[in-house]
Amino acid sequence: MRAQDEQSRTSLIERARGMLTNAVRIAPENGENRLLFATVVSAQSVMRPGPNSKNDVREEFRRAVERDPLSPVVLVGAERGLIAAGLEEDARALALRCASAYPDYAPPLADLGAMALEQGRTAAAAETLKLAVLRSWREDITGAANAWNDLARASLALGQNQQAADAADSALAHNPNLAQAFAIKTAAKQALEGKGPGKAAGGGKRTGGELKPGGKAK
Amino acid sequence: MRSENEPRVKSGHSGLGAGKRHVRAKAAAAASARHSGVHASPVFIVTLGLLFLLPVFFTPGQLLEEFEFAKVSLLVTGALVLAAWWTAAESSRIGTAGFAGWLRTLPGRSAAAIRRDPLGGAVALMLLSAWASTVASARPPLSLFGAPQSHAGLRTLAALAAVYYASRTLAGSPTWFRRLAQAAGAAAAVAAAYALMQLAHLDPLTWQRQSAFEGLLRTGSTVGHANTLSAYLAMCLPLVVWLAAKSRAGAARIGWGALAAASLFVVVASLSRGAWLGVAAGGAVAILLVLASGRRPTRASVLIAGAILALALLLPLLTPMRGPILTRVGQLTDVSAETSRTRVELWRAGLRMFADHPILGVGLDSYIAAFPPYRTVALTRIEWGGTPAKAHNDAIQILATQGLFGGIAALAIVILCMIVIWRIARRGSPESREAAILTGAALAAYVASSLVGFGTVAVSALAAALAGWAARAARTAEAHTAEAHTAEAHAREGAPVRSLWNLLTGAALASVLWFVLVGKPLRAEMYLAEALHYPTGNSGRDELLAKAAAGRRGTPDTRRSWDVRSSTKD
Repeated sequence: MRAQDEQSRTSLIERARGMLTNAVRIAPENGENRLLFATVVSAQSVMRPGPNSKNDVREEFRRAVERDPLSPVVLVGAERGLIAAGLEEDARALALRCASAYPDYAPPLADLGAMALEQGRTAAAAETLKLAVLRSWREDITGAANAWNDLARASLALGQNQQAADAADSALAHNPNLAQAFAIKTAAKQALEGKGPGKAAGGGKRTGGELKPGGKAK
Repeated sequence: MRSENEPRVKSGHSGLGAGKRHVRAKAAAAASARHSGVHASPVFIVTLGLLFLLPVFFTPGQLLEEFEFAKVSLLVTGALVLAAWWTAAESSRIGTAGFAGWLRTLPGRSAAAIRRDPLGGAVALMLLSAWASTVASARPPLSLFGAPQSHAGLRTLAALAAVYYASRTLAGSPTWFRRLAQAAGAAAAVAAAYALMQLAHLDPLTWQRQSAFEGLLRTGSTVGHANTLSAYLAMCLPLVVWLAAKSRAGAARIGWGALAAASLFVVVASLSRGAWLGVAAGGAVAILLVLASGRRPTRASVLIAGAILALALLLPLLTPMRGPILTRVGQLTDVSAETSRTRVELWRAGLRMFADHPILGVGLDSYIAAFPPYRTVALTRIEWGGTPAKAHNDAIQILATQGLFGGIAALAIVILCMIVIWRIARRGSPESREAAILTGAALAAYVASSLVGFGTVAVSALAAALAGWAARAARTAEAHTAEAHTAEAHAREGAPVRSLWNLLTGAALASVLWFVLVGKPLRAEMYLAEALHYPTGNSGRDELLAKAAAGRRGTPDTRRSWDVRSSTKD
């Protein structure tokens, strides 16, 4: 998905689909192989949406979860793949399931917060993200950086500029290349110094560290 | 199954009188006994070679899995050499009797072999169960080759059975037990020496992952993990003590004695509770068998053994290892400890697999493939990602993967082993009584440590060889008579003489099997190891990965399976 031109992106995804089809055929019981296959189906549905593509994506992720119903890797991977395919309600159900099974695990909570943020429920997002950033990330540095960045966005949107600046700092500590966190930090500082409105930088979607479609928790 | 005695009498005479037949039978049996002596036959060289090499052979940096995969490849290669030798004998019989005639005699020969050696029959039953579970498995290729980092598939079980039958054949010689003990003792010396080097931070090799507990390095030595190493040393301990006691030369006595002390030290320092349990079980069984045999150890030998035991057990407590060792001792009975809870969860999952697949199990060595639906929140919270390849209890592992069929076969092996060892300890010659005590102690250590962990090829091959020796040594006078009849039958029918063509036939068959069972997976593993030297996205890496995938067809990716050898929570 990160390939520069569409042709090579399409070709690489086609190749991945072929290999994962083989993997699924050889080990049909393996939930992680199914998850990767579903992720490719999800990516293809985003690139070339069809009349039934969302249903296909939903079905593939359902099969993956069915094979390994309590694996946090599969649950979070499926939930993120569903978000990427625009199936937020299904993703939310999976994230809640994962969060209730593993309350100490940060990624599902962070994803719930990110979904709330995208839906404009800023206060709820900030509360959820505050909980998420304090939980265990299991070495998922990128995920932690993104959650801090989302918290910074939500805080800035709520006018909590100091909190936004601190959260942006934490995001940059995890990932110094997160451009949006830098912008939020600048905006929050300006707002604190009374130089301008603080909400501008937090208005857009996250850049430089988007949720990868179907990306694993690790 | 094959006959153990292979008299090289080309043809016999028919129409002899009863008296002459009896004389000929006795002569044939005597010849059989002479020929089954330990001489440098291929069976002797291969079996002894395997017993020494399996614990010490590993391939640092050459393969993705440097220990068990390399050892299994070696074991299967050795077993195929044995198979070639035996196939040559069978092809000779086919040449003499014709295929139809050979086929007609096969059931009778098999029945006679089982009557002579019921334990061998139980081993054959285990193989049959393993084959059935492989065929019925959801992933037959996985069951054939074994799961990643486990490799306890059908090829491994068949190879271990070959070691059993080879040792049984070689046990016709009274010197075989000593040779077996020496090979195992020499391997234990190499493994213990390397472990001590690792403990002293003098390891010339650098490892990416090493198991540790409260800062104390848990040495894996030549077998890759402290639990496996200490299980092997615990098994060898009675043999090494016996070698020390039996050595005539003072230097040898001191050498074996030092090895016994070093082995005990490493077992204590390994922090492996399974091995500690194994040493205790071995000791208890040894005492029981000593009492049963009516033999009383000399006061001097008891004092020496006691001194070695006290020194080896107390010495680690005077070092910085004291803290971790005492914590670990405390965990022996602490069911709330993470490691104990992990095992309970794995056992529960295995028993649930058995309940769902009671007849043939989920498939030989397919615990890893069947596990995901049995995953629990409690286990994931402790161990997190990955999927375990083993139930960490071989009894439950067999029930889960081979069902009731495998469970009955395994139980038959254990019970028959106990019977033959008890019988030798009670009624055997003085030398075999001693050997029975050692075999009983070593096998008890093997079983005890396998009940909280799992057997690897190094320990399982030694167990198979000891069981093979016991099966032969336990033969009663009636069995010897039956053997004489078999020898007579051989003399009449034309016993196998391995011609060049017979040997070529055996070699050809073994070569084909080697290519499929060892060559292809080995090459795939080498491609995989080489591919990982390249960065992601490199075309060379992709090409090598594609080649590896072609060779590993049907076996799952190892990267997300639980590393059963490097977990710090063992």
